[in-house]
Amino acid sequence: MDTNKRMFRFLNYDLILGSLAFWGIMLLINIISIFMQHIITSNILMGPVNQGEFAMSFVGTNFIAVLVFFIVYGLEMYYENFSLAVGFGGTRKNFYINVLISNLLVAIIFSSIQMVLLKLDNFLVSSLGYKPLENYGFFNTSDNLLNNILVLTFLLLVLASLTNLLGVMQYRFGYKFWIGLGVLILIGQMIFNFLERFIMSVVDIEGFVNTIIEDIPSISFPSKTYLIGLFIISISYLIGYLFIRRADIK
Amino acid sequence: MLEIKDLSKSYGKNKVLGNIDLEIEENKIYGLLGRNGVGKTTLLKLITGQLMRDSGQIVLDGEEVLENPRAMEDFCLVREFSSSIKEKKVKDILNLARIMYKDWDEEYEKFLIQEFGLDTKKKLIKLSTGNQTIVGLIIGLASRTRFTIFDEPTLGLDAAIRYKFYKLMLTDYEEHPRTIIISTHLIDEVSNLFEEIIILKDKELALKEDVDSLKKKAYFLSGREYNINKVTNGKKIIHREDFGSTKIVGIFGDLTKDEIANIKKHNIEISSIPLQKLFIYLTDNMLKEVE
Repeated sequence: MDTNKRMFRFLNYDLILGSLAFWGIMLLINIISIFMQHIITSNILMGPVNQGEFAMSFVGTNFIAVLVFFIVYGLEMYYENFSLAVGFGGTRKNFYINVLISNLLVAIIFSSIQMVLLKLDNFLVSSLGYKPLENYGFFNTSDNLLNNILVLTFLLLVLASLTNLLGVMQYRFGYKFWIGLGVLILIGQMIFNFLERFIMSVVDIEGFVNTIIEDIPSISFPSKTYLIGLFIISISYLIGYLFIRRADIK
Repeated sequence: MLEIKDLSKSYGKNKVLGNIDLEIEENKIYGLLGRNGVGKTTLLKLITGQLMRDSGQIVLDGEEVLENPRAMEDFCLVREFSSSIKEKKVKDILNLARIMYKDWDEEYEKFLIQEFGLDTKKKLIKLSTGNQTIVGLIIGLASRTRFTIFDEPTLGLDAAIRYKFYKLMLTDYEEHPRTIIISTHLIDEVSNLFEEIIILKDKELALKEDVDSLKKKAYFLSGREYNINKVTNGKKIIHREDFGSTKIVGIFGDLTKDEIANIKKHNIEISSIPLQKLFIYLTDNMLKEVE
């Protein structure tokens, strides 16, 4: 087995078990949520509300947990695995290449599971007599499953690239990174109301994307999103590599 | 052969190691000695690519080692585990080591676990310092890498376990020859294991020599102070003791036949310095010139 394959196995040693545990818990929460909604028949609707309509999704709320998973996964990759991998005779370059592969793998697995669950969720919500939430902005759950998996994989890869960068920065600079980030946010808040703008950009992602690339009307919203996403992925991974390629092991 | 050329490392303006030129031969046991803060761990981390150097080269089989996957897999550095991985279970750490080291001996790993009575189901953090050290020792021994490096391998171990480790290491070394580098403070315990020693002083290489030739270069001279002073003029003194008018000095360096005859002529007793003492003297008082 060559060094790349060994590094791949090393980085993904915990991944299957970790993913199984994560999705096992999420599935349990989803089932309990559906069951509770069924027996209690409450007026309180669970899941995100779509465009002012009372549309419901149990599984849609999983996205918050997925976000937390990716943050922890990004931080742990460097806090635990980087030192150990290089300590066990791996190279930084091999490590980083396999981090990219691992990120892609996680994005594919998570998007596949989530998309299948969303299909089932739609069916269950309808059978309970509620209106299912279908429009998630970048994809519609009634669309082709494979297409949706690809879209969500791409979006999760954008998220993974950012959490990977977070992990790299945390490893290189430790608490200084968080202080620096805090100061930047504070300055941003004072100068151009950063936090409100950031939250509004996330809420109205389409409007935000259109403002960034407003001069090319021929490009549709999804295409603009992919362009921006691709830019974020490239830049985040590139910066991450520049910081980790000469990092000392702590 | 591992060649280290003009190796230097600094943290900001603080130089931690400089101008190291060293050749490490294969299938030998080296002792890396030196006082605290002299740069031993830094040197070992630089060799194994865990630290990035400021300048210099480390070459194995004609290839630069740093970030070279083919070369890096030939090194295993055993040192205290960082706090970030102490939440992992011992069996997981061993499994990860097994994945990474191409020559890992699984049977030997099992034998060592049994021999040391290690509970692999526990998290590393739940183990005593000694048992945490044992996990590292098992990784070092079972990795069977061409260059196995132990940095303070006996931290927290009691005497019985320490001697068990020395015995196991020697037995395995005889069956599976490789280069072993041991950096330790317990010089008297391991002095007989070393074939060559490397001494660092003031963040630089002070000495590298094989033990047999070292033995031939180190002598105790015992006699009247007046006579001792006469014959040690210009010699490198590594130890001094006074007992009234009698003086014992340890000298380091080649003695010619004439010099030996001269020493005897002055009624000075000449004897070899035991290895343990020699290493301690060399480490503590490295090569002081006689004023």
